[in-house]
Amino acid sequence: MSDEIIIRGSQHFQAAISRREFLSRAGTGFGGMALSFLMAQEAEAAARSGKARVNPLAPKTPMIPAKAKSVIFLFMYGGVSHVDTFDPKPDLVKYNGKSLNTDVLKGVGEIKTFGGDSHAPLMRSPFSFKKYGKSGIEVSEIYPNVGACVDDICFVRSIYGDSNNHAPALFEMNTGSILQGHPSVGSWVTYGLGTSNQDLPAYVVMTDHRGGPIGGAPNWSSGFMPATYQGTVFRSNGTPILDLAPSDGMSAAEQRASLDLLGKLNEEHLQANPGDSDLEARIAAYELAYRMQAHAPEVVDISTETEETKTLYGLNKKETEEFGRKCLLARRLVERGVRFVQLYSGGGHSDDTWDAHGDIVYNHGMHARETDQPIAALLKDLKRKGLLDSTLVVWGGEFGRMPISQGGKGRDHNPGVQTVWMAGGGIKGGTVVGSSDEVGYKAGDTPYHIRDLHATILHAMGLNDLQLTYLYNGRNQRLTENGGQVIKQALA
Amino acid sequence: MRFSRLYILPVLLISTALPAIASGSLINKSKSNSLIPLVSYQETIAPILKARCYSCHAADAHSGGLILDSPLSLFKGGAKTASAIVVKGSPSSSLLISYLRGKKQPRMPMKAPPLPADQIALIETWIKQGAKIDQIKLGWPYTPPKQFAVPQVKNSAWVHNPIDNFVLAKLESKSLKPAAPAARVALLRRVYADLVGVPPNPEEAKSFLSDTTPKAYEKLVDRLLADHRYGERWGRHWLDLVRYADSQGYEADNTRMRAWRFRDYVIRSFNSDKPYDRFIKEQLAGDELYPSDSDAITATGYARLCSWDELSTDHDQRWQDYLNDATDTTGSVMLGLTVGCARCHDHKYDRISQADYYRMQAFFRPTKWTEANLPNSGNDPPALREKISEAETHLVPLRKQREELKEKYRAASLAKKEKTAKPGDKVVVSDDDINNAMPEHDRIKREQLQNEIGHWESVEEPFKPIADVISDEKDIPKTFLLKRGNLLTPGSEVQPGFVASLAGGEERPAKIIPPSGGATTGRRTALANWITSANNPVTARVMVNRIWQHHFGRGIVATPSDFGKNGDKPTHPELLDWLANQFVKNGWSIKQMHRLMVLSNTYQMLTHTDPVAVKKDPTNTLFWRMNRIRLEGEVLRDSILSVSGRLNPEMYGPGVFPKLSEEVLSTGSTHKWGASSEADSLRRTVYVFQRRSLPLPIVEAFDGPDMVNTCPRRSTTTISPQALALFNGEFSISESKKIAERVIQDAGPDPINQIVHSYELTLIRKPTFSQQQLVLKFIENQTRLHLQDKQNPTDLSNAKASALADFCHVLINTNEFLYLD
Repeated sequence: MSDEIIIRGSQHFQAAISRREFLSRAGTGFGGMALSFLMAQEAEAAARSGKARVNPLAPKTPMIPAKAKSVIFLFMYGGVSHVDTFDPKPDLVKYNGKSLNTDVLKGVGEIKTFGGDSHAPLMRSPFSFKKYGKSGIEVSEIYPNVGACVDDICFVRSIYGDSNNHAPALFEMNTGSILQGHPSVGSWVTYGLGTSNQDLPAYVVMTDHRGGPIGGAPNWSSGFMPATYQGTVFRSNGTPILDLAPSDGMSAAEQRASLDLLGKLNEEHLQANPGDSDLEARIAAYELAYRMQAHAPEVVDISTETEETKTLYGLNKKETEEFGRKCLLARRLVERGVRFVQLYSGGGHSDDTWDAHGDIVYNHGMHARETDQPIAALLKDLKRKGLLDSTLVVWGGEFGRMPISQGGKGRDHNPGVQTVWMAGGGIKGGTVVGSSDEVGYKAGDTPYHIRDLHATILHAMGLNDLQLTYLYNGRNQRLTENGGQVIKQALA
Repeated sequence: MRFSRLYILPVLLISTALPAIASGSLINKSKSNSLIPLVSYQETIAPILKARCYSCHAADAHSGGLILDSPLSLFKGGAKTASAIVVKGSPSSSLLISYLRGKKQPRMPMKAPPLPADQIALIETWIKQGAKIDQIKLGWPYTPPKQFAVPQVKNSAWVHNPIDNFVLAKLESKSLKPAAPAARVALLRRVYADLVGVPPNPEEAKSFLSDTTPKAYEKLVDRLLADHRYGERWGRHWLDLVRYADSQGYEADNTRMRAWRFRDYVIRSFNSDKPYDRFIKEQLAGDELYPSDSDAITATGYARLCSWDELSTDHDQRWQDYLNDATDTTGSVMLGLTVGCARCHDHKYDRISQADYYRMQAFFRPTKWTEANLPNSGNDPPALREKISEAETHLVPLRKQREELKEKYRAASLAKKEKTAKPGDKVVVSDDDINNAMPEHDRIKREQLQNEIGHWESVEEPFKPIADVISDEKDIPKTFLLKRGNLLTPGSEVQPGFVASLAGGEERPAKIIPPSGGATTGRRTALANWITSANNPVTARVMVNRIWQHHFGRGIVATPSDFGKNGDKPTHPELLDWLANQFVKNGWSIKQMHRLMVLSNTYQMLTHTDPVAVKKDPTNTLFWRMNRIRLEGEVLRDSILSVSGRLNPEMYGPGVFPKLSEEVLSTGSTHKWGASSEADSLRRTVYVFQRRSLPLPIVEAFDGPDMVNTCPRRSTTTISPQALALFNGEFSISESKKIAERVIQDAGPDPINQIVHSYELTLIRKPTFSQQQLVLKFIENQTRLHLQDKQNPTDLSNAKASALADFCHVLINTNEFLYLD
């Protein structure tokens, strides 16, 4: 088999198949998968085997036609209560103070809480809901600005996951598995599509100013994939990337002179060792780092934005300044071709996150005030810049919260159902998909697992979740394990 | 809930598995050949039935009473089909075909697409040929290594040892020539990085380079294998495999304060050249096999290295996840097979059934986690034991003071209690009673004492000769085959047994002898003995291949933890078998394997590419040259510290915490990083605390292991964060200054001498004349820039030192430093 190609890691079907077979299958049996995508994978395979070094982050053609080119994932860490934000529950008002039993909800079974009393009474939302937009979708009073954007948003009210514990739930929302060690959604997207701006990281993560999420870096790691696809933590002030500037204040002239000497020594070394693509790649990486050093600070330099824009994002107010700045940077990043941006609202523990065990009014009131205006500003700003069509915006947390109270005013974790909304690239605005049950304890109509959400995100980006595979440990690994169901009603 | 959508699975099977079956058939594709070869039941028919029929017609399902997964039942029939469904020699009278063709209803497989015509044709041919049930043929890698003769070669002068015969014979058959030998300096750097993980210091370099006797290299290799730094280097490879960490992972990611004992055990084992079979036995069943050996007891911590969700509320599932992890990791690491793929269904590619999987899991089923007091103070060096006595020097007087304080109020407290006691009652004074009897100032004093005692106890605790280990439950829980891997759908009960394909193809329960004393079940001993028996077809091959991979940059099997169908085929199967046999023959000595490999001429070749060879074998699968190897993150950090002369050689003990910047610490939800002394923070990277949520940035940037998954092979990505870390990072810049200080101290004020010495320290060679001139110009120019730098005003002498530091900084950033030529 002289024409056998080995596709390790990036392989889609089998470890080794003939080139002819490979291409013919691409043309027939697996219709819909663009040949150019395969060619890119093949190029990567060649790169891996050392034949020719191809940048693994070079942009790749999507498998299926898609509008969205970038993702902005707004992660409400700690777990947002759906029944207090985007999933109004009149029955919860009706049964306020009653026990959650079969009288209220058929077949409710044993109530599983994380830390709270499972016999605690049902608790109505302390917030009022109001209809917005042409679609008349109801939104809680704590999200008025986002409310004004409902006609651009699709709310999926029936997302459920598998863990009522922060770390596994975060891992599941970010990597598809409650177990630690899998590549994150951003890694899969970057692996599948590369990036169009080589001077900036392909996949950027901005954590909350109060700290990172539980579990830390594994939330944006590339797991068993190469580090090329992992998220880069971007700070919204000063030097955005770790080690972007010399640590001891070396001047630009000194640094350039050092780099030039390094270049000369490396070039000489390369000439003595011709044809080694690794050496060449590493020389290029230094120049890339140098360019990144110039370009990344430009992204966080928002002095070129108008006052009107800054005010739109709430940069003039203490409460909205932090998240507003991140949202504005997210727009600037996707504008510059960054493939995947994830922003965290909430950091560290307890009420510094959306984890409203003690008091939903205090906790959600505060976090909604911090995020409402910035998120609405992001949607409006993307729209007026013509970027909303090519940007998929996703909003959600690691799980929803309980309809029963915890300690009278708070709510416990609830992986049984949450609302996740999407807007922008390829999404049908002004729609509601699925529902929770009468009181918001579990998913009701058309339940969608987190992996279905993942399949939908990939689909919107032009990737098929079954075909996007990576060989590890003898298995063609997927983000959605054995496949997710694309939430078709959410698509335009 | 977790598996609610697994119904998708059968559909997947149809679309992906079948082409593989068809192409694996024994049908002769050449149409001109009129002889139709025999269709094999095992190779062709069984896989089709397995993929399409077993899900309903198998021992644990048997719809219609029909069982297809035992070949004999084909000739017996089911409840509805009274007679045989296969009639030898007659496809048309075989019910199997009638159902498959839809001549009888319901057409099979029911509610699924029909079998493709070519598959039905295969089954018909097989029946026509007499429906013979052939023996299972166990090929690679399920049969033991063969005894291959060392091949003859034309260029016998090139041969140093038999490895070279095997490699050269292959090369000659392709008309390829091995590359020329590497220069001595290159070889010196290579073998130092490879065996001890740091470059030679100038004295070490000189002692080799000035030794021109023929045995110089061999002597060097022996010296390095005897060096304690060897265990720190090679132990790390094993720690990658067993996903070692000092923390639990997940949300809390709390410290495992005794985990370091396992790390030290691994380092000690490599240094003492512990036979590999013994090394495996200790990790699987050290408590049963060597109960008085402190290291063997510590070794069972192997089964506790996985990440662990302390906050899980579903304890049954967590324990099942643990058992899965122990089974999968043992399969990957010790057997080199992706056993874990058979957790939810039979392995799609390899000969590992789902029953095999749970039979293997049954060895771990009785496991419980416990602590063990270690005999001989855990083999700890005196420095670590002193930590205990040091803490005790504080604790003894503090405890005494606490006692004295207690005694002072005991009598008063007793008297008070006796007053209220009923006659005849026994009066007992508790600590609380005494506390209550104390006046305010003494109560505060007592609290202070208590706090101080608590502090010193927590300092002392990790050093105590106690290890996190495993043992067995008294009542052995049953092991079930879990349908689709789901804990909620247990199938039939299974007994501990070996992967059948690796045990001659037969499913047999393992023979288990409980050890005397009866504390454990003996199950793990049975597993350990089977894995390390000389007959096990994979164990020795897998380990020699791992050793080869680290020496040569790529394994003979390039997928070192997957010897199965999805893995790569061995490039030199005869050599692999020869090495495996040699390994066992030499008492599983890892050091003798190193010696053999490192002394071969294959190892000593140049890394240069060759335009002719690169055309014939672009990826160097035949080893016509040495692969260029990049330093791993740990080796890079250790090398820089070694060059700056600051590497602290102290061995063993709890993990240390080099200083991390606030921006790195803030990426996690918890800021769990400790503070170590300057000296401790300069220790080798293998001793740096391994926190799962916070990897050391320089190691992470250079493709360090994620500490969660078993890592059989580090990837070597080239990404800009590496350049940023090494060019801008605090560690690299501050160590460059230290290198420059060392250079000035050793070489004096003359700039040429300084340049030469900088080269000698970092690249173990002298610069060429043109390099000298280039660097001299750089230093002069850089000195001028420093003097002009208004942000950091300086004088001439400091500017010169800074310029030299800048040059050293460039040197440690060069490809020549980062790669082994």
